[in-house]
Amino acid sequence: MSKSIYEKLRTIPDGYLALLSFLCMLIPILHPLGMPLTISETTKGFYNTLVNLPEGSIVMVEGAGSLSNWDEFEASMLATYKLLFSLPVKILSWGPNTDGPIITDMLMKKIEPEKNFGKVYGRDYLILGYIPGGEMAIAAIAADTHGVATKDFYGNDLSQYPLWDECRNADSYAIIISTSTSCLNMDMQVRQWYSIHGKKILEINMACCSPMSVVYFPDIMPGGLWGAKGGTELEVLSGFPGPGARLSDASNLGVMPFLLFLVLANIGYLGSKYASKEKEEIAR
Amino acid sequence: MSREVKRRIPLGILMGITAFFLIEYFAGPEFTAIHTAKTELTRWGSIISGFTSLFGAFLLLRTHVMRVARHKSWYDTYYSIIVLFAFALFFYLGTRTPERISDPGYQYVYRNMYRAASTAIVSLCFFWCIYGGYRTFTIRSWESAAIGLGAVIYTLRLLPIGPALIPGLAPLADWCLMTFNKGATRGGTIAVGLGGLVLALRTLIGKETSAIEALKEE
Amino acid sequence: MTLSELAAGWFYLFFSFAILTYLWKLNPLYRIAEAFSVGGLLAHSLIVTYGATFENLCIFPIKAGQWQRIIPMIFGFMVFFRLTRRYAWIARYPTCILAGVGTGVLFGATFDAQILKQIGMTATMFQKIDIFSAIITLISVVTVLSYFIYTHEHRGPLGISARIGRVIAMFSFGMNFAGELIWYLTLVVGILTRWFDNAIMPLLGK
Repeated sequence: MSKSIYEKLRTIPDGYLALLSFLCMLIPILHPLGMPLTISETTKGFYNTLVNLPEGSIVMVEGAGSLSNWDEFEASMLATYKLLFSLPVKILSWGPNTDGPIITDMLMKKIEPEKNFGKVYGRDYLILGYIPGGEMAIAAIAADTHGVATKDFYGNDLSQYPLWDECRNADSYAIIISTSTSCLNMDMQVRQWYSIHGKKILEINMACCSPMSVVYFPDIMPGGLWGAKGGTELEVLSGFPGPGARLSDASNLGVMPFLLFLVLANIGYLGSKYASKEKEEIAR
Repeated sequence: MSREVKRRIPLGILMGITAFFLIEYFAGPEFTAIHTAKTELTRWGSIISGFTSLFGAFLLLRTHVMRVARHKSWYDTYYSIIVLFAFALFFYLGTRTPERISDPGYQYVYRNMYRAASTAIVSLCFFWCIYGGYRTFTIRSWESAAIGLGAVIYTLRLLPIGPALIPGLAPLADWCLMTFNKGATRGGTIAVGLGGLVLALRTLIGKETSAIEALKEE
Repeated sequence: MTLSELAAGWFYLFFSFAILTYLWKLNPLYRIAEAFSVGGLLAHSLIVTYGATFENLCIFPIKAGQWQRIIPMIFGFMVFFRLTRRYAWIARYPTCILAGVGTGVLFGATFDAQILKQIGMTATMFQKIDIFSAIITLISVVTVLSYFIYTHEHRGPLGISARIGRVIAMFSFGMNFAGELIWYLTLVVGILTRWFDNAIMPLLGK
């Protein structure tokens, strides 16, 4: 039996959707659209919290980014580190997963804090390696930071660095910046940092995690950056341009075929529903 | 070996540690010995967790070595040969210098080969999402209409083109995020928290034996 | 652009294209790239975890005089008894310690962070945001919570509340879906951007 037009609209082969999506993604890559950006309250909160930190504060950065999702994180992490290096604060970075320290090292090679911001490794910033255990690692660091590491990411003895002396436990840190690829990350961070030690947390995560993390905004989480969009917004606010603007612009048209097909599917559904109702009335 | 050594003592350790952490949570700052012991135990958990990850990696490696050794079918064997080749390449590059994973050669292959493949694997989910959304987000019921509406509003909000084309979309989407979504997620978080508490209580009283049952006895 | 950078761009293109061929169908090219990434991840995990766990948390502290670290190291090695059938029960000891510590660190904090704080923030929001938004949020919290009541049949007022809660939860899931969609879209766009920037344009002399 041949399909009606409405049934055909609901059963368009997936290949057409994929092909159209690819073509729509290519257009802004080859010819940028240059759309303006609306900055969200969570990004403003993220920015304002960092710029208002007292001089000499130590910021703990939990770098659990993933290289597989690097395009989601690159803009946010670059802009965050550049902003932190431009402020009179110190940074202690560690990796809750195996990719985290390698990403931080990549970022440092790109940013060059010594050359561009006059920072000194060991005095103004430190990179610890991967510390296993997830929530247990966070609990251990918050209770006694010295107990979880003896060498930094590069294999050097930590006791030689003046910043390491200042990083004792949760009371040493002014704010926590948590990067993660898990949407349940904020629950874990709030349990270990806020509930027990009263420390507020800023989050950098993927775009899909913002609906789950805003539950803590703004009381416990003063701000957050989610996805490339969050990174782009911070680039604009902080004045440090990066890869986010291009990526956000290039993503503009990729979803349009999906939205078009969604409209067609609904037309097909409503059309079939009323067509079958008419058939029933005629049959009566 | 007796049942005590194989089951009851591990279960007792599980219950004891859980109880100890609960006592520590309510203990005042003057009980420094309890807090120090808790910090040390947390480090133990971190260390054992690391060894468990090592064990998992070792197990996967062993599986592929056994597949090549047994050579049941070329379909499985060639896949395992490639896994072992890649493992050998990355392991050599990652251990040949004291810099380990900071070694430029390792970074080159890690960023341009591993990252390329792993990013592409994750990105395939875009197509599964749009295929699934096309089939599901129709106005069949209140629920499917709600999920479709939420998806469309927030998708357009997350792209610069949405607020540029539709004035008022950004405040509307942000308002929906901070009211409907926040309320729903809060309700879910409380429910999950209650479930987590129940699980922790079951562990405390020795009813949660999944850690024991996972390993079958001889 | 140096030859090494150009080669890097083409390696990137090859491996990501190989994976994306799965959209057409499962094929040997996809399997090769997938197997390569599995092998790479395996080596990476082993190298990093060995350094972080065995060296940084055990050997170096023991050499510095913290002899108590020998105990968790022994428990860590006990995990490997899972490989034997006869002595697999020995692995229960480190597993139970891990489960106990894992449960313990979140036990007390869960009640405070995920229950008390959430109820508190719901109550105090009436002072912070406009009354209409606060009422909508409160209705969302209550109705979604009522949906999770499994001990009473969803009939009458509870049924209506659970139905409303389900619809609101679906709206929230839709927003999560949107976030996921943009996440994956960003990755695809990132791949295509790198193809052009690092592989195709250099060959065209741009």
